[in-house]
Amino acid sequence: MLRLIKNEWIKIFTKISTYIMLILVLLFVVGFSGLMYLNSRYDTGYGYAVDPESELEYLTVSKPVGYELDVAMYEFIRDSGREWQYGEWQMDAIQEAYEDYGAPLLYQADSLSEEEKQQLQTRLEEAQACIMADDLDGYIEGKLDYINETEEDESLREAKSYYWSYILDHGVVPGSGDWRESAAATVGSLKEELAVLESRKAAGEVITDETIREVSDPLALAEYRLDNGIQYYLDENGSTGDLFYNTWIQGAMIVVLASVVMIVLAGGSVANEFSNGTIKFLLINPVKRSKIIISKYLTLILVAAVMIVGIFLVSGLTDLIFFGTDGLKTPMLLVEDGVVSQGNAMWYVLKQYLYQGVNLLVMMTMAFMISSLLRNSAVSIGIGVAALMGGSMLVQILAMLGFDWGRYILFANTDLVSIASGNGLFANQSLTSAVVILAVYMVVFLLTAYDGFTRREV
Amino acid sequence: MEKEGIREQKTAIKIDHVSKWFGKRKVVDDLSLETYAGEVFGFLGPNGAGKTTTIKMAVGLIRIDEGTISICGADVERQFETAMANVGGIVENPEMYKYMTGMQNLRQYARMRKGVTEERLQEVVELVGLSNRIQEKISRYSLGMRQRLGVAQALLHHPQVLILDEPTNGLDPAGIRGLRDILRNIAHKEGICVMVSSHLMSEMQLMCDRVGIIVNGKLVQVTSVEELVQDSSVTGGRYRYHVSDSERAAQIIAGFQTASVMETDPGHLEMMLKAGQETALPEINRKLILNGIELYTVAPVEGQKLEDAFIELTKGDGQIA
Repeated sequence: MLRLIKNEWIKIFTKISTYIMLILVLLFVVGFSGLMYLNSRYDTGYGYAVDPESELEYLTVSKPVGYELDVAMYEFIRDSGREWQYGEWQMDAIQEAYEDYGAPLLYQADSLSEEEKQQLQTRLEEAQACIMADDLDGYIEGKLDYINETEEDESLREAKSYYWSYILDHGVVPGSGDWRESAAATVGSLKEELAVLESRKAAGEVITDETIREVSDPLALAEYRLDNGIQYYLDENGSTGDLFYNTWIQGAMIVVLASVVMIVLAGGSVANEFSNGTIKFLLINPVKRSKIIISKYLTLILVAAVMIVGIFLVSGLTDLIFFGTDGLKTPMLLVEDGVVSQGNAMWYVLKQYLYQGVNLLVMMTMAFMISSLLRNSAVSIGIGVAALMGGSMLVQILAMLGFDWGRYILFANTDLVSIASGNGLFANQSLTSAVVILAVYMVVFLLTAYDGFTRREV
Repeated sequence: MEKEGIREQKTAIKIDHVSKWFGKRKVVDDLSLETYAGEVFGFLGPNGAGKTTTIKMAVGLIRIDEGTISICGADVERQFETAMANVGGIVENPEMYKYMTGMQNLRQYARMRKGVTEERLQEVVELVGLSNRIQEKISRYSLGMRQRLGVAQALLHHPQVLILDEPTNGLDPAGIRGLRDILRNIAHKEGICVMVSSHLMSEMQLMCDRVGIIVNGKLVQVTSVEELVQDSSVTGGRYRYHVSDSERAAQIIAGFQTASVMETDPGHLEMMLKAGQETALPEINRKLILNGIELYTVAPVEGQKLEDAFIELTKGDGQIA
């Protein structure tokens, strides 16, 4: 059997056309990484000067809801005598100060006591003074002071002050693009959300553990990142931010191209023996036909596996060249019941490639069956490629028109990634049902191919 | 013609009451035949007689509807691998993988058979005279070279039985002669049974020890070549005329019941006397001269006897059954 597989392997790899197809796939892999790299070069930071005059003009003309507050702020900016930049912490801080202290003064003046008004006015002025003096720490201390004073619930108070305490303690400058800022902000807002949920639960409302986990798991993840200094990481939904892994994971798309190559090879596998007339020489050997057809199929699977792993490796390698080796340090983070553990990031990426491989396997097997049945490579390849391209479109249309039986069509079950994450085209598609349906199709394809080949009169 | 070819009567191919239908048409009809080790057996028949169909059944390319075929005692359908281990063959055209070299093609087959060594590969290449061209791609081979490679392929694993469908197809005269020598040699020296089918009857006459003639799927006659050629009950001989007016001569000969015109071309014609009518020759010649036709030469055509016998046996009506 091994010698038969070797024979089939040689048949595929002595053909020049095979190499041309492989080189095309290779060019796509490298080209894709290159384009992603070029694209990343064009990313420019934002941040441009604030023009208070034009802002004021806009506000006074169009008068949107709450424009008075903004007018007050931009007047302060106009009169401050310094340059302001969007994206700088000073700009964010001044906006916050006006929202926190200026808004109640402006809109709720009637319900406030003189003392309270005085206090808010002082805070606003103190904040303005800190901002003008570029005193970030002073500004944050004022903010924390305000939170401690106004927030009565202890856990909520802690949650709201988390972000500020963190950036104060770690010397993080907001707006500087430090990843810890957004992570700390995430922790803060999730803590807040969790505190609210727990207080509602304590008040007797029915809150499921599921709901709490939806908040506590990302919270645990963000805290883990801050504790361990992890800027980029991978989770079950793919890469976050890291260009190396992002590009590598998206490179799995190129497996579709490998599918086309495999359809061509599978479509020619049996058919070319007939069209070249070599089938008679193949079959008068002391080898049963069943062994020949099985070795043909096994060889195709072998070639497909080598191709998928090859694309995975070459893609990873070119991404390393384009984006540097730093990306390799990116960990895979998994959260379960609030406990964070590190997984294998490369294995995760390989899995993305293998998921694409399921579609490849199914389409390849279909082309193989047609090839064995019709003995015509052009028809097999045509149908195979059409199915690869148009199959998902067909089921999408069926799903859109509400034909529920569409779920039993092959193409509705090949996108295992979407189905596993609950985003199947049809209601209640599960991974199990998809795998069972695929298995049934595969068995039918293989039996048809086997029967067609072993009983055919040559 | 060496007589020792039929010395051993060890059955190589045994075709036993075999029938085959293509749809409603019975293309092979209750055919029984045995060939023996050490002989070259010629399988003759007009186009569409069922030669290739029978050969295909013998090598398992198509199913046998009725009857059995065994090779060296192994049933082709039930013990396929055992039976085929003893068979080497070419069926119809010698088509190879065009994008591979001759040697790469042979290695494909070597891997599918047991006990083919590197020495054996070189040996068969040498035997069929392809040593200088074996590393070239098949796409550069002529039909004759592919035919030789087909024979090399068939001989690779020392088969007991060689089945060759139209092996002289595409070979030049020297190639045909070479192949004839190879086949007669391996049959007589190594005791292999060689079964060849061909439409070149004169070839068969020189190559085969025995012939079987098949018409409309039925076996008409199995006989040794010598007997067939000597048997005057089949044909009275063939003669080639060199005359002044072959057209008119043909018309005159056509008037005789005892002879039939085979071919005419300007200045020449060939005619065949019916069995037992050898004495009609002087009468025909006289009539030609009396009609004012210049008779330059009349010569018997040798080497055509088997063909004539064959045409007689198959009624020579040119209709594909």
